[in-house]
Order: sequence, then structure tokens, then C-alpha cells
Amino acid sequence: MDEPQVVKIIVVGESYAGKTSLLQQYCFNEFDHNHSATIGCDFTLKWITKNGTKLKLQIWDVAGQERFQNLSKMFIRQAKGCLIMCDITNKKSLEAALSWRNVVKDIADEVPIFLIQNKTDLLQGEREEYQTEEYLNQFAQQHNFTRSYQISVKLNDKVDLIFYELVESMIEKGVIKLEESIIKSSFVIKNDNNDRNKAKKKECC
Amino acid sequence: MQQQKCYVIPGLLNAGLLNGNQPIYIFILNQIQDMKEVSLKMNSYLQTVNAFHPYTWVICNQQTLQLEISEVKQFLNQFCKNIPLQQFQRIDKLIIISDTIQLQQLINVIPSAWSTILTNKIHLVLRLNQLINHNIELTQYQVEFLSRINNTYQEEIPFYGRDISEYPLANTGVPECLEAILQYYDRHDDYLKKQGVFRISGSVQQEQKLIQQFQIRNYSVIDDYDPDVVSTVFKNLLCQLKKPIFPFEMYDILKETQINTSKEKLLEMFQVFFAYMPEVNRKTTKRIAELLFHVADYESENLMGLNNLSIVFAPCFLRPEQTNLSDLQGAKIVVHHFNLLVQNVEFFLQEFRINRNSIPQKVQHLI
Repeated sequence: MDEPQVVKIIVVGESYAGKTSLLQQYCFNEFDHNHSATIGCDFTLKWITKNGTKLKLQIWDVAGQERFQNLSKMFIRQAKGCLIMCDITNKKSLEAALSWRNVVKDIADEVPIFLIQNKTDLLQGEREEYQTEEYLNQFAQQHNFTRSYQISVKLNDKVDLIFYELVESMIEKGVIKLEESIIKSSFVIKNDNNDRNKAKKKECC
Repeated sequence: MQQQKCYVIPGLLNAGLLNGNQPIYIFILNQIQDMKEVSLKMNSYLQTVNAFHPYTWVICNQQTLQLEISEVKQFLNQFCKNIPLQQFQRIDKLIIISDTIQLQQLINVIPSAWSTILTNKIHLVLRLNQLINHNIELTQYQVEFLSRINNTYQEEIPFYGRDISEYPLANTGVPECLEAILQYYDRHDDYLKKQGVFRISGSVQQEQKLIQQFQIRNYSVIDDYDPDVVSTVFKNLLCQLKKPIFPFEMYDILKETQINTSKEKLLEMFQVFFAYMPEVNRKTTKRIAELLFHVADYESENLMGLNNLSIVFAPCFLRPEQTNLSDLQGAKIVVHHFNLLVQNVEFFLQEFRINRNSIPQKVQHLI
């Protein structure tokens, strides 16, 4: 009756981008300095309330190692949203994000895919071109990512935001439906737009 | 197009071709040792293989060697002597592969007895791959064979995904490409201290460039590449082998074992596996395990302890024939066991020493 809707989210991206750390931070508010690679796949749960509806986020942490990719594909099925992580200190990881995007698009075409550049805390001095927000946004737009963000898992910067926005985006794309939203859909949509504009403004600042 | 049989005489290609019912004979002139022998053999084929059908001759040299008109002349004269006119009348095409010879030169060297028969049947082709214009399609096996004798023919077998025995071996008993990579790490020990070594992947474009060089056995370029690119090639080479270094059966057995199986029992199992593995697999395992053991020594700097390295490398050695969800648990157990194997590589080393000659092998340097 009151069983919350399960929303499957997958986090993929190149090895060493901080996928496991992101989940640890988001779900348990922990940052582990141990750098252990992930075997296969793991998931954590997080309950959130969205517009009065309870959602159970089932967040899958998919190993970045190439050899687990076949296995990873199985976890991408039925996903409602996807975060593709890369490392801001590693230009190649953006390249890898594209191949992950292709993998995800092949299996789950309609879902929102966010491009996340992690480890902004490691940047010192002047940023290289690919490290700027403008570049990332343009890159994301060009390659059909739904949105893009620069975050720091370590400093817990924008971690909650990206999950919040991802759920918004899922509602917007119609991949998940909130019970209330069926009844007062027009109202919710209006609300959503406002929220998104706010979020956009926040990004720009 | 079907494969017929293998020819054994040097210079007469041992990839017999049939185009429909029409046999195609390919001569590599510079490899012919005894022109008379080849022409007699040819005659006997003409009498026995599809004896009433037309046939095609292709004449070429190995790549980089220019095919000279004088060689063609010598060849044709010898054949004219040994092949009766009635057999020769069946010829459908005479194709010469050369970028130096002119068609008129060719016509001039045709023996007079043959000249009327060959009107409009002589074709000049610049490269081997243009044979397709003459409806000569080659099978994978034939292409492989031809690409080894003629480098202008570009369709090679992919670098990844071969059987380990298909890579040329270095004199250390491991494949040359792996030897080059292992020696690269010997020379650049400092790379092994880099944070996340072997875990971070390199640029895909660079990786492709490097394997292209490896394809043509040019290993000296390896020093121009980023360490992450080399490690990507290293891992992909291993985990994409047609058959993994440890056979599929081994994975199936290992994944069923308990994670707390005693060390002694596991080592015993590995020992049995080792005994049944081909030598190249054993030597490769040994060398890589030694490297990983060494890399783990730098854990404080590279953050890649044996456990982390095992997560990265276990799937390079052990994988199921078909992936399914049950492998998630299997993968974890196998990583654990692989870790144990690397830790105890010394144990297996002793086994090798007993089996091996006491004379230490001289390491051949590829660079």
C-alpha cells in the first residue's frame, strides 16, 4: 500500500573516477580515503521524498574496469536514470564517458544521462580548457547528455543536488511517475519548471 | 570460393583456391627454388584438378621485392617448355601483380607458342588486394596467409582476441608483445609508483595506435606511449584472449569453492591446474605474478595493494565462458583466490626451477 516506488539509478564511468565514493558520500555521508576498486557491481539504497511521494532510490555502482563491462550491461537494464562519472584531473575520462554513454543509450535509450566531472577539489591554479564549466556544458550538449555538473565528492559539493536533479529529470522525461503527479499533473509540471530554473541559476553562479 | 588443398612446393602458394569450378594458382616468383619442379607440378595439377575447366594464374613477388619483367620472362619460358599446349589452352586469366611492369612489356615476353592463346587474357594488377576486381575473393585463412607474404594486403587478423599461442613468442617463452610490455616496466620502475597504476585506463586512440605497431611487431615505440595506454593494452590483451590464461573450466571450479577454503587446499588446486596448462600460459602467469607482487610493494605510493591489483587482474586470467548474473559472486571469490596465487608465486616458482634446465636463459631484449 505504502510501499515506496523503487527507482533504479546506475552510476558508471571510468575506473578511478569516484563512483563508489559518490555513493558512500550520498548514502552514508562518509568519505573513505581507501581506494579500493569495485568488483562487478554493488548497490545502495536511499529513501527520498519527492513532492510528497516516497521513493526508494536503488543506486547501482558499476565497476569501471573494462573487463566487467559485459556484466555491467546487465545492470543497466531497467535503470531509470544514469550518472556517468569522470575525473576532472584526467582528460581521457571524458573520452571514456562517451563510450559509456553509447553503452547506456543502447540498453536504456529514454533515461536521463548526466555527465559528472568529479574531484574539483584537486584542481589548483588555472584550469585547463576541458576543466572549465563552459567546456563541460558544451561537451555535454554536443554529445546528448541530459545535463552536466562539476562536483567534489570529497567536499560533498553538489552531491545531493545531482541526485535531486536526476529524479526531476526522470519525472520530466516520463520515465517515472509520481502518484500525486498523475492527479495534479499540470501543477507539478509548473512547479518543476520553477525548480529547474532555480537550479540552473545556481549552476551559473 | 572454397579451399581445396595445400600445396607444398616453394613458390606455388599453399593456399589452393577455387573460383566456382575454376582453380586459381598463385606463384610467388622470388620463392621458387626450382622452376622446373614447379612447372612439372603445375602440369600434373592441370591434368588432375578440374581437368576440363578454365583456370587462373596469378604471378607476383613478395612485397618490397620489385617484380622484374626478366623474371616473368624466365618463368613463362620454363612453363612453356613443360606444359603442353592443350593444357595451356584452358587458361582463363593470367594476372601479373607488379607496379613496375608495363602491359606492353608483358605482351612482348609471352612465348610465341602462347601468344595467340593469351590475347585479351593478360591482366596487370598493381596490388594484391585488387585481385578482387578479377572475382578472386579470399577466405580469412587465405588472407592471413597472403598478408604474411605481402604487407600491402592490409586485412590482418585483429590484435586482440587471438589464442595465446598465435602470438609470436619471445625466447623467454612468453609472447613477444607481453615481453615488450614487461620489459617496459623493468625500464620504467617509477611508473609503477604512480597512483592508481593499472587501474586507470588510457586513451582509446592511443591504445589503437600502439596495437597497430604491435601488429607489425614494432615494439620499440612503446617508450613513446603514456603508461596508462601501455597498461590498457596489457590488460585488454590478456582479458580478450580467445581462451583465458587459466582455462574456462578452472573458473567454473574456482567459483564454486568457498571463500574460506584453506590456503593449502587452494594452492594444491592451483598446482594441479598449472600442471595441465600449456607452457606459455605458465610462464606468462609467473612473469605477471612477479610483476604484480613487485607493484604491490609500492602500495603506500600507488595505493594499489595486492587486493586492488587482484580485482583488476583476476578477470584477465580467469573468466567464465558465458557471462551471467551468477558471476557476480563468482568474480568476488575468484579475485580472492587470485590474490592468494600472486602472494604465493614463489611457491610455483620453485616448481619451475626444478623443471627447467639449470642453465639460465639469456633474455633477449626486444628493444
